[in-house]
Amino acid sequence: MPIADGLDQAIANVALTLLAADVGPPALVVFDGVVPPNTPVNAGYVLAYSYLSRPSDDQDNSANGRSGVWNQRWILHCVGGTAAAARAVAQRARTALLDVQPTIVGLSCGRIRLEETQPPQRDETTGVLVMDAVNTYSLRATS
Amino acid sequence: MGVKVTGLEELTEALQQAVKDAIPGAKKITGKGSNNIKKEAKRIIKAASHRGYLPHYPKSITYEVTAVGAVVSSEIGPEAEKLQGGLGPLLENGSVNNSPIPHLNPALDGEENTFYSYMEELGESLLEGKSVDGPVIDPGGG
Repeated sequence: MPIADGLDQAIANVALTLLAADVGPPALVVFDGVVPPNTPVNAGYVLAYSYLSRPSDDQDNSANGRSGVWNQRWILHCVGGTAAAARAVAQRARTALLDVQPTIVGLSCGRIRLEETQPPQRDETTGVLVMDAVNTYSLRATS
Repeated sequence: MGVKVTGLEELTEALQQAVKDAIPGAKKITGKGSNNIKKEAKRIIKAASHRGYLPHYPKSITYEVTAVGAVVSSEIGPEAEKLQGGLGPLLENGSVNNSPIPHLNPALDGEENTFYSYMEELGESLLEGKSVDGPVIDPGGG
């Protein structure tokens, strides 16, 4: 069985690590893909959904046809008890991520870009009103 | 000593015709790329909703090509007024309680390079006086 190169996790972890590096106080609370039950919303938190695509048809793919491009996206749900709190969480995320050029052994990385922002939206699906501002960041890398 | 150049009138006419055909041609090419993105987004979301809980959403994904001056653009995505079309942002981005099913951004990524090659073909076709083809109007309408 071939040994995994670890690059998928490495590139996904870039934003998660940068966000977690905001130790505040209070530290920025970051969740990877799921929010634990009964998480208090007052302090705010970031829920990150990460996904990676490897376009099969790209000018930066190698001449031998091997996929050489890594498009990583992070959909960040910046959550707070009020719209202002959600914006404050989004601001901390933006400070941590925007324009950062990470270093990953085995990849040549561009800068993290902010692709899309949305105003805070009401979300009452947990039974408690939270305000959720969705920001999508992306990173393009080549191997 | 002198130089005689012939065929300038024909060249001028050809270039003038190319200028006239550029925007309509770009709209056709943009329609072609948009249709590909729409179809791929539908394919992704259909594959992800294998329990059939999104029977109408794929049909809500449409595109519209417009030209303002020399700028040709296309808007591709679900129409909120169509059945389940309002679910687009929730599906693409997820929520605090629901994981996303990214389908529009990945479809766009997949078409990006192909679209560049379409534009190169358009440039060649304009200079050679050939017509290009592409669905400016969404053939499915959703």
